[in-house]
Amino acid sequence: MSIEKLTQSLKERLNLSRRSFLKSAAVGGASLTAGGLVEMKTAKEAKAFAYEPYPTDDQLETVVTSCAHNCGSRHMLVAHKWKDVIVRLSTDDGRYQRNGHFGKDDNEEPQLRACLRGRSYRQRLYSAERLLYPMMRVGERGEGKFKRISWDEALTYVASKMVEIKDTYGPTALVDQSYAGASYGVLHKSDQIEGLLGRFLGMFGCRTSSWSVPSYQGTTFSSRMTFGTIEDGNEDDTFAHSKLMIMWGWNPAYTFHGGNTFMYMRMAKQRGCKFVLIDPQYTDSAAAYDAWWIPIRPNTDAAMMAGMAHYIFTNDLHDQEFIDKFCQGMDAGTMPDWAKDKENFKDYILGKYDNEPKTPEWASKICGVSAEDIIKLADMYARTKPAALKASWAPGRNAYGEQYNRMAAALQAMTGNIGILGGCAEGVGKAWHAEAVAYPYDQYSNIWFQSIKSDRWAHCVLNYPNVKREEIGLWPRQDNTDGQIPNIKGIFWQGSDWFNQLTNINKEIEAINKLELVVCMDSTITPSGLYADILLPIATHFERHDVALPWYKGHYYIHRPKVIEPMGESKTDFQVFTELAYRIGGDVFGQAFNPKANRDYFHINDNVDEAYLKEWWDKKVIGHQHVDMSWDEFKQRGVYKFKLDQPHVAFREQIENGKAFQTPSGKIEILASQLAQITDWKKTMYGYEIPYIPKWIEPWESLNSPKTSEFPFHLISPHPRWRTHSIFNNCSWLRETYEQEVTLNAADAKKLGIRTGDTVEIWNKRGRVVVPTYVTERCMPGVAVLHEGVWIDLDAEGVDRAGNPDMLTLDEPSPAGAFAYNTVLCNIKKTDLEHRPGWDQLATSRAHVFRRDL
Amino acid sequence: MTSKKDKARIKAAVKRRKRETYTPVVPDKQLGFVHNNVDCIGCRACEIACKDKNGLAAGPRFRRVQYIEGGTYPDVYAYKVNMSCNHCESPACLPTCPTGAIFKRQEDGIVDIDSTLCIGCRRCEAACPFGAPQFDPNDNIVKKCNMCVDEIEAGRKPYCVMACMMRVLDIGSIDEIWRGSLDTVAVGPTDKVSKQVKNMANIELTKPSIGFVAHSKGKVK
Amino acid sequence: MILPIRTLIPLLLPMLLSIDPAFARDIGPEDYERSRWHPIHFKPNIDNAKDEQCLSCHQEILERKVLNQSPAGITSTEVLAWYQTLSTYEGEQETFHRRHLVTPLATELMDLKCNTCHQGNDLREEAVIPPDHSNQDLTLRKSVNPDICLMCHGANAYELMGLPTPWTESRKNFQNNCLLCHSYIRTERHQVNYLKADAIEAAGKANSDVCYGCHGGRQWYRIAYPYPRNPWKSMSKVTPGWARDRPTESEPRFRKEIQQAAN
Repeated sequence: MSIEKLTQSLKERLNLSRRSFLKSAAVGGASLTAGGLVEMKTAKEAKAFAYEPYPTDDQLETVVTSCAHNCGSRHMLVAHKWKDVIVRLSTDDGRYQRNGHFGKDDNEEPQLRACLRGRSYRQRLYSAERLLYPMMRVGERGEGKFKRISWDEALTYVASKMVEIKDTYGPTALVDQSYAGASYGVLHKSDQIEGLLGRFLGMFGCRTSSWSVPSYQGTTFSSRMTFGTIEDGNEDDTFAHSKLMIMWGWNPAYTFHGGNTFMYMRMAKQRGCKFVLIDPQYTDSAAAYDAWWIPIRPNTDAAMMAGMAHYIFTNDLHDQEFIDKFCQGMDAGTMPDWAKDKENFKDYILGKYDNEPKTPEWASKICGVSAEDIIKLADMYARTKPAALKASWAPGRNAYGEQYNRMAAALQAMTGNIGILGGCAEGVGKAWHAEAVAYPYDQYSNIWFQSIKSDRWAHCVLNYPNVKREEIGLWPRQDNTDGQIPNIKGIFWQGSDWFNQLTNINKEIEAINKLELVVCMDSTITPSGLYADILLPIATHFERHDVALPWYKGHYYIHRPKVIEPMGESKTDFQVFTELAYRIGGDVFGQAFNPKANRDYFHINDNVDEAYLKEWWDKKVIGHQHVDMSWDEFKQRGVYKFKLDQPHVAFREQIENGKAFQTPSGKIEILASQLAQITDWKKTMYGYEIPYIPKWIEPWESLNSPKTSEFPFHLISPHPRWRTHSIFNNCSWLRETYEQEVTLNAADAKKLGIRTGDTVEIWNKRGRVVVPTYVTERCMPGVAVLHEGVWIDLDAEGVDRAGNPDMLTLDEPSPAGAFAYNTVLCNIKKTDLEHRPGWDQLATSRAHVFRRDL
Repeated sequence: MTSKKDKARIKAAVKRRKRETYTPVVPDKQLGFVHNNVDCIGCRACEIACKDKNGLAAGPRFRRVQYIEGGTYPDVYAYKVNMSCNHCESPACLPTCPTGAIFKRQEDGIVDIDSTLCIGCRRCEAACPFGAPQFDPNDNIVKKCNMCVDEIEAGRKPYCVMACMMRVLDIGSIDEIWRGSLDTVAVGPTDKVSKQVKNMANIELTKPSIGFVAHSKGKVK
Repeated sequence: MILPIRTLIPLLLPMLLSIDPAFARDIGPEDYERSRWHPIHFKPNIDNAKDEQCLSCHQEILERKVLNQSPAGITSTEVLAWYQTLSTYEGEQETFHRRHLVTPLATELMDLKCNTCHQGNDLREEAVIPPDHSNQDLTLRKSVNPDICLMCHGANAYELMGLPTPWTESRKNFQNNCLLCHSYIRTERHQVNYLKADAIEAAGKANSDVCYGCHGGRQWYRIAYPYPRNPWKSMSKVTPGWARDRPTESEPRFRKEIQQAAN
């Protein structure tokens, strides 16, 4: 090969390949590919990423803002900009808060330092994948052929299709799949309950809602049933006070749950706290906290917990006083009068009802952890005070995952580790209620005409009208439309990439071709977007005015000004919905949807957004939360950090002062009153029976099932560190830090003749993916780990060459609504098929691609 | 950075080279990095912060968090070693440079680079025992960490240090780091700082200005 | 279903890698991902890798030249590194690899192979212990163990040679002639497969700066390489203290007979 050729190929691989070959593609045809629009990109990027000239911070304008995605925390970003270009980002360094100074970083007001994803935002902002103009599909769905159209054409099309579909198919024909993915703020929000799309479609009169939360529906269910609330979280600083920390399926080194949780846990370690990890993988969290690693078969967590409960009960290590005072249904003595004939938890564990005592030995056979280790852990947990059992979401993303979370709550309660500093009642883990909504949240919000389990839309579309309500988890309605199966004919994606993120993608592909309208509103092209009829370019959080609130943990607000003008023709989603409202329903709809705006909001939004935010700050933040900072001072500083009198511990009031829990009984409901009184499960949103006390239920597939003869590996798909779900998958900086690869145990790999770097096929009856392998001793035998969120990239046979695990997952949720993302058996073999690391092939990332001597 | 018009600076750089023997600069004070190999969660926020600040494309990585793991299932361990440029007492990159692009600062011992003087011979890259100089194939020149001298001069700390979510990466006087007297949360109350960890090049080659809290499996005698 | 972006990839593939056909068959010319993990990059295969095999993909290391002019306008002809002021230095500024492999001095005195220096490294940059197929001796992050470089680029241990001051100061007193002593002392030298011992002797005889060029002239590292003490004729029976731990022959892979056997 000539040097010119090689240099050329190297350059293409490194940085420019996508752009250069798209250029050639655009010349050839009249229509652009999905990414082709990037050709019209301004010259901004060159300046944004220049190594030189090199301006110092004082030559640039400094603007405090934050990251925005649906990750589990929320951190400060500080934009350093030159004219209308963000030249670099930094993060909180202590200077911006009131009484701050450089380096201020104390335990009361710790710095909110952004993670690797937050730090890479500029690559997303200025990425080749940015949507800059409205686009209309001209090829087949999924083919990715689009042409540029005007906003007027786009909105006219969408509005007329919406009206046509509603008139033809009725009020359930449009399914709302907005989610917190790309749009999280108090004003511009994508969300099933508080989101703009829900309000817009609800007012329009045509909306099927998606009620189950992909990440933690099992956990949500458990927290609500047991504690009556999802606010069962401690603030992150409380973790510094634990003497024992059991990380059950929890990897804060990847998910950064809370603003500084991982840092306070380090503090606990320095104070002598012992750490335990129960997980099929020895994670980076286990390494950093020097944890005792207990590998466990996926989807068997509830059995191990039952074994622990058995040991604790039979050795009289439980806190009977706590149980008697605060629990319902933990044992015979805490059963309410109305439920005397029902089962109680202790007797279930002791085997009174089924002659099967849930001994550590019994549990060991199911979960693969030795009885000795189960006993050792149970003993540690029962005797160490205070001890935090942090029951994470991942083991709940399973068949009967809610039983794991319910069982964890029972352990937390029987050891009296609830409501005390250093203990932990988490579940969902929401620790602080922020004032979350700055636009009208009124009688028009969250109106829906049917609501289904989120991962059942494809099933519903494909089988309509022969669908039973329990199959799709239809939420009960109080009117005569109760039980009517929605006739879904269109999808709206607002800030979500659900097509790529829900289960069983092959089934979704089949279903989407039956739809008549698919609208994707996002800042970048996404795999979902490729299946859309219309792509609407949405301004990123750098390009609109908002305020960031913490993600469940942390107590602060971060101002998010419009740092730069929206790129291309992008608009905020609030602008888009307002304009659509005016087009569909004239002034009546337009003004009801967005009361502070006029007809010109689509073009001028600054003053209206400012008015909403100021009103929110003055009425809700100052009014309800007694914040002593004016809106103007907040805007000038960029951040407000609350100081709490004492570390926030969930249920402290209940335990210390006898306040009632928010459950029907006012107690911690190990026996859930609501569940115990259900007679017709089909008429509930669950569809199928759920035990009223936590129980071990055999999942439909696991390493213990006969199916392992055909599919011997259990596939789990945790949240990655280098993406927020699917967001950032296109950022080459982040792809330098990882590869999409399947993690296998060394002994398993040896049996299959697989070594690190070998490309393998992973398959089951639902789909097939191709990825490289990472062979390690840090993974349990029989388990394969493939991180969720990679952008699907299908070949002619429908094999995903990118390695998205949701090609293999089952679209059958647990009764309580938990997605069964981690209940997947599969097989693995070496393959000659080529893995495609990214759409652009450029940054397969990591040093070796570019490094030395290539 | 040097502009094309800055002939005087170019001449001075060339003159720096024209000496028969290379005499290392003995700085007034030597700054260095300290990294806690055990408590680091390996998130690589420092790496991304660095790339963002320096406007680098995919390719060159000034800072590199290296993952080390070992043991046999289920008795395993893992830790991280995080390095950028070690701003060595006797940098091996410096004497290899024919253009004077690399120089050691008298005031703080930072080994800085003016990449606009680089002709891309890549000798520094080969000479460094730690892989600090990074070749950028787009520009055909070598670039590397300069400890964010602009931030240091403004009285702050480099972007990587200020990015560390775990607060396990810091800078300071290397003598204080090695003595354990630096006021930093990167080193825990009972931690000891070592100059070298397993699988790292012999530090006598260049005397790197870096300290580590080593993992028990990463300690060297 | 095909994404159109993907359909364009084959257009690019032919230029991604150009590979010696015989060798390339099992890599697959299109699969960059896979070729990274080809066994030739790891032990034991790398020990038997031929330069032609390496260069069939990595030819760029010899083809790429330095810039004529740096971004700020320094021309490569007007610059010199300090060691290049030695009388032995001639020729243009060259890249690191060319300097070691193809320039006149390199071909005259040395016989470096790719795997003399490159012993394979874990592309993950992760030192996996115990190694799956990584070399435990490898140093974090470097594709070459710097000890290899040290063999030529270490300090000149003048004290051990009994010189009063560094060679640059002492040489006047020794007529700038290394062989003044080294015709008798340590005469068994350079007997390794990556050097041309006879050519080195001849060049050193003609100009001692050639000797110094490696033994201290291009000194990037603070320490000297502990060369093995191949016994020479008039070698003292008493081993000095500093030499007691030194081996008496080179490490096996550098011995001359090894290379001969391989050939």
